[in-house]
Amino acid sequence: MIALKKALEVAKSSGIDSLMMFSSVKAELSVSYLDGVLDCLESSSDSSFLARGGMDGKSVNFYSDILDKSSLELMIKSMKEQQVYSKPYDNDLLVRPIEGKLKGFPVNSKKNYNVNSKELSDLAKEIYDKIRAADDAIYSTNVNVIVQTAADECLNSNGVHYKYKSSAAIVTAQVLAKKGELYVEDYKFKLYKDITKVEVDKFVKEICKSTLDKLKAKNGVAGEFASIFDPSTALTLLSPVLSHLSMFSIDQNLSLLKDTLDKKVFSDVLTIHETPHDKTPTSVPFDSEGYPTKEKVLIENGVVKTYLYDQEMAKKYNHEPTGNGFGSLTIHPGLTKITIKKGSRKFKELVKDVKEGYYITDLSGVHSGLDALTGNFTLSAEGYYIKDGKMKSYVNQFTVSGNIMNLLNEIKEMSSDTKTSLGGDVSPYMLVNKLIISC
Amino acid sequence: MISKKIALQVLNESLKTGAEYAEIYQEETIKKSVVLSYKRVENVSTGVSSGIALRLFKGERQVFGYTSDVSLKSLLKLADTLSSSFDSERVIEVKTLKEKKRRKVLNRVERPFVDEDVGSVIEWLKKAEKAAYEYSEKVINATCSVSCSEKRVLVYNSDEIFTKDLRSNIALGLSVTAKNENGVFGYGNYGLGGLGGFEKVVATDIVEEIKKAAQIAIDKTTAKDSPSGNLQVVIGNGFGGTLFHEACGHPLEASSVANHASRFEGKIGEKIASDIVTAVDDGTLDGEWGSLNFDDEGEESTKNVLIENGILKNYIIDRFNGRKLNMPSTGSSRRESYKYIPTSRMTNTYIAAGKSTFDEIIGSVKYGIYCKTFRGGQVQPSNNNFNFSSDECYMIRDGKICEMIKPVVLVGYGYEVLNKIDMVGNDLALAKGMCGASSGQIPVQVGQPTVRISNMIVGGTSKEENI
Repeated sequence: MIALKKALEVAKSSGIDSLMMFSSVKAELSVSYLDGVLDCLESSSDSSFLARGGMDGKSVNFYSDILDKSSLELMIKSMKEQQVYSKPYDNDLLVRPIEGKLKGFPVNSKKNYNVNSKELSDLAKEIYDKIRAADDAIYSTNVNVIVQTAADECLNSNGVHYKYKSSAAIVTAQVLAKKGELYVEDYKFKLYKDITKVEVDKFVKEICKSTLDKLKAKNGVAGEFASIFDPSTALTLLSPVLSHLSMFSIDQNLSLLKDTLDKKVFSDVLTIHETPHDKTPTSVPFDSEGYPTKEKVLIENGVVKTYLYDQEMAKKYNHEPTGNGFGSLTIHPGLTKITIKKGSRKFKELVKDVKEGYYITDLSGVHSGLDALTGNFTLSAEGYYIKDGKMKSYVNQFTVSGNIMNLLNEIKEMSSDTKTSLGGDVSPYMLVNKLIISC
Repeated sequence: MISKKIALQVLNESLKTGAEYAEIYQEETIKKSVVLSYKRVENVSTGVSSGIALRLFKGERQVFGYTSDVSLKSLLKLADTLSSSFDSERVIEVKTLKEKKRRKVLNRVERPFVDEDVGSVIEWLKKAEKAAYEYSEKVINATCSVSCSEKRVLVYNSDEIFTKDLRSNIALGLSVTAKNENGVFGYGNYGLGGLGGFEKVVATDIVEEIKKAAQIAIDKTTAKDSPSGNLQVVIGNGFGGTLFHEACGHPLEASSVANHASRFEGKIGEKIASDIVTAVDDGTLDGEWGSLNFDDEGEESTKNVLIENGILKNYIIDRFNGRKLNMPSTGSSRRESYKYIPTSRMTNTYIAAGKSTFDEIIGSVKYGIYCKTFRGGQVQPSNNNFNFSSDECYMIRDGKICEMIKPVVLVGYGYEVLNKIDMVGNDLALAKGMCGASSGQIPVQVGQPTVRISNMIVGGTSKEENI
C-alpha cells in the first residue's frame, strides 16, 4: 500500500491539490459454533482507500480496496474526468489543522491482538453450552465470537493528519426454541472492549429469557394503547427524526424541523445529547471531513437546540461547523452517537402505570416500513401485552403505526434504567400515551 | 486475475492438512455512478474493489479467509493459516485446472457503462430532471441516477475446475419528492435494472417515467389514512413478489434448512401452498438483474422449480449446505463480495402466471386493499414470521380501485399466507431489488402476477378496520 503522503504528492503533481484521503487496514478473526460443533472459522485482512476533494474548483472522489500504483493512476484518470462535469468545490471547505489535542479516540485493547482461534472457540463453546443447558425447548443455537482490529489514517492537503488504532470483540447468538407447533427465535449481539470483558452468564441469561418468553405467546389485542418502547426500539424510531436536524435538509426544504430552532416541538421529557466521545471502541473523534466532533445538546426538554452543520453548510450560513460532516463520496450533515436523558423511575414502575397497552421489545421491517422523510411508520413488532400494570403475555406478531413526530409529543415518561446499543447510543425505556396496534 | 499456476499452488497448500475441498474466489469490480440531485450533479464517481477469498471444507465444517493483497506470498500465507485448522494427512492433490464453460453465455454487455461518456449521460438524465421540476411546483427534489457495478469473477476449486463470469449490473433510478401546501411530503420512484451495459436502460422514456413518479409523489401528499385489521388484500405484480421472497424464499434457502432454522425442513413432496401456486427461482434468465452464468462456487446457474401446484419440490442449495442436506447444488451460492462467505441465496424468484385477469381479481373484492408497489420486507426463517411494507396503496370497494391510502405493513406466517392465495393473475412481471442476508447485499429480482390473498393482518395508519 502506498503511503497517503506519497499519494497526496502524486495527486498534487497532477493538479489535484485539495484532497482529503482516508486509509484503513482491517483484520478479523471469528468462529461460529453451531449446534455443538465448530461450524466455521474465518480469518481475514483487507484494506480500503478513499479520496475526496476538489480539482480546478470541481468536486472529485475515488475509492479502492487498495492504494497501489495502478489504483493511484486510475484515481487521477477518473478525477480528471469527473472535474469536467461535477458540482463546484470550494477549497475553503478543506479542514485545517486545529490547535491542541484531539479528543475522543476509540479505546483499543491490546488483548485483541494476538488472540487465537482456540480462545475464541472456547468462549463460543462456553456460551453455547450454557444456552443449550438452559431449557429443553431450545433446539438450535448458533454463537459467533468475532475480534476485529483496524488501523486508520487520514491526511489532507492542508496538513490535517490523524492516525489511530481501534479494536473490539463482538459476540452474537441466535437461539431457536419450540413448543409443539410453535417455533420461535431470538437474536442478540453485544460489543465488548475485548473478549476478557464478555459477561457470559449475563449474556446467556438475557438471550434465553427473551427467546423462551416467546413460547408463552398469546394473541394480542388491537386498538390504540399506551405503550412502552424498549431502548432498542426507541432508538430505532428516534434516529430518522434526528436526521431532520441536518442543515442541508433544511436548506433544501426537505426537513420537518425547519424553522423550529429554540421552539418546543416534542414532549418536555425528551432531552437528547450527541455524545461522540464515550471512551469505547466506537468513540468518534472527528467527522468525515476531519473536523473534530463535539458533545452537544440536540433537543432539550422538547426544544430544538441545534442544527447540524458540515463545512459546506457552515460556510453558507456563517455558522461554526459542528463536526457533523459525514459520508463517503459525498458529505452531508449526520450524527455520531446519542444519549437520551433518563427519568427518575425504573422500567418496572412504568409498567405498573399502564392500565392496558404494550411493551414493544422488537421492531422489524424498519428499512422499508419507516419513512424517514415523512416520519410515518407501519412496522411489524413483538412484545408483551400489559394489563392492569402487569405484563400478561408475550405477543409474537403485531403491527405498530403512526407518525414519529406526533409520537415524540406523546412521550409521557422515560425510565431511569438504560441500555446501550451496539453502536454506542444510550436510551432509557420510553412510555408513550398512545400507539396504534393491529393484530 | 491470478493464473492457473498460482491457483494450483494455493489450492494444494490449502489442502495439505486433510481438507476435502478447497476453493479460490477472486473478483475485480469497477463501480461507476452518475447522480443528479438537489438541482446539481451531486456525484460522479468511480471506485474499484478487488480481492481473493479462500475456503476449505472438511466434513460439515468450513474455514474461510480473504485478503485484498493478491500476491502469491499473501495467498500462501492465507492458505497456511486456514489449513492449520485441520490436522490430518492430505487427501487431495490438484493436478490440473480445466475451464468449465456454459453452452450459452448469458448477460452479454454491448455498451459497457464504464466506457460511456459521462457528459452524455448527464445530458440524458437532465431531461428527466427538467421534466420533474416542470411537472409541478410541488416538486421540490428530483434524483436521477445511473450506476453500474461491473464484476469479473474467477473461481478455482479442487474439483479441478475453474469458471469465469462477468456480471455487469446496471441500474437506472428516478425519484421525485413533492411537498404540498400543508407541508406534507410524498415521493415517487421508478427503477430499472439488468445485467448488461448502458443499452439495458438507455431506451427508457425517462421523461414519461419521471412524470409518473412525480404524480405519485404528489398523490401521496394527500393520501388518506389506511385501515388496520384482517383484510382481503390484492398484491400487485412485479415488486409484489416481495411477498414470496420473504414469506417463502428465505426459508427455502439451504442455509436455513440445513441449520434447522426453517419451517420447511423435511417437507419436500408435501403441500405447503395453495394449488394455484407455482414458484420458481431462475438464475438463467438472460440479462435479468439477478442472473448469473456461474454462481460464486463455480456451479452453473439453474432454473429451479421450488413449488409446483402447491407441492414443495426443492430448496435453494449451495455446495456447503448441500453437503449437510446430502442434496446437489442448484447453482445458488452467492456473496456480496470476496469479503463474505457465500451461501444459498435467491436469483430471480417469482410466482408463475396463473389464469385470472387483473380486472377479475380487483372485481372480486368487495372491501379490501390493493398494494400496487412495495419497499421491502423481512423474515425469520425458523418460524416464517414475515413482514413487508407497501408503498403505493389503494382501497378497493365493491370491486373498484378507489382512493390512495398511506402505506401499510403486511405481516403473517409464510406457511399460512401461501395457502391463502386464492387467485393468481396472468400478468407476471419482474422487478429488481437488493437483498441483505449473511453473505451481504446482492442484486435479486422478485416477481409475480397480481394475486389475491383471502385475508391477512394489515397494519395501517388508522386503528379502524372500516374506513
